[in-house]
Amino acid sequence: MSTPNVPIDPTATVAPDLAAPEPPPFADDGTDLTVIRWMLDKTPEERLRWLQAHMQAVMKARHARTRP
Amino acid sequence: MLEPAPDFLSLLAVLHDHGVEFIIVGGVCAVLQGVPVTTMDLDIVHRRGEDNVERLLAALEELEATSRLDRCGLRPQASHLRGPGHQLLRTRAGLLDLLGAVAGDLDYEALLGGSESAVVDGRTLRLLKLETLLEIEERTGRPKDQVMLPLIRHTLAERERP
Repeated sequence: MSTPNVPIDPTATVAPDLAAPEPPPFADDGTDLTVIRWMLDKTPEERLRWLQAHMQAVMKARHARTRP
Repeated sequence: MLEPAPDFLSLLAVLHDHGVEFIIVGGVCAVLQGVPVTTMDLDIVHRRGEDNVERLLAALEELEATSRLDRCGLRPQASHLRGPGHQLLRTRAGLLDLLGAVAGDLDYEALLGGSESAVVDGRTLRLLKLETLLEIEERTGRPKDQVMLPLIRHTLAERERP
């Protein structure tokens, strides 16, 4: 069985998403941009629940430390 | 004194359900907008009109709010909430700072145009736009606010990224 003779278009061999450069993980000042992207993927409510859970864990640890 | 663990959802729910008109500012505002920072307290700028102050007092009663600066546990009074000053409170749901105005003279009405809404736990809340928060934090120039500035700028840039 023969295949049709289709000219190869080099620009069509890579999907646009794959061709786009990966965004850098860190900013020039050292800020971790992956954490910012992780936060931006969440809804406002999810972000607030994350903060609340984080701070409650911090307080729990602080209370534990002050026990005799 | 050990502070209670913050329960921001409860604080916001009580304020909202009492019909209090307020704008979320500070660290919680930043987090709601996607900035990865942490904070212990909820900062809000409330409308200082008589009717709103009454609603706010009712909400504070439910939250068992007392002054953090007073050893006797002074409860906030209407006169405290009508002025541009800051009331630093301790509540059963965590620390709550009521700001009559920020950056000098920016009160509720002045900030309204630079705010937007977000739905949290089924309630529509008003908070500063991230651009407005950045302007205010730059203007105040306090060291503790300066720490947040690069994170706000990077978050704004990431939001613009295609």
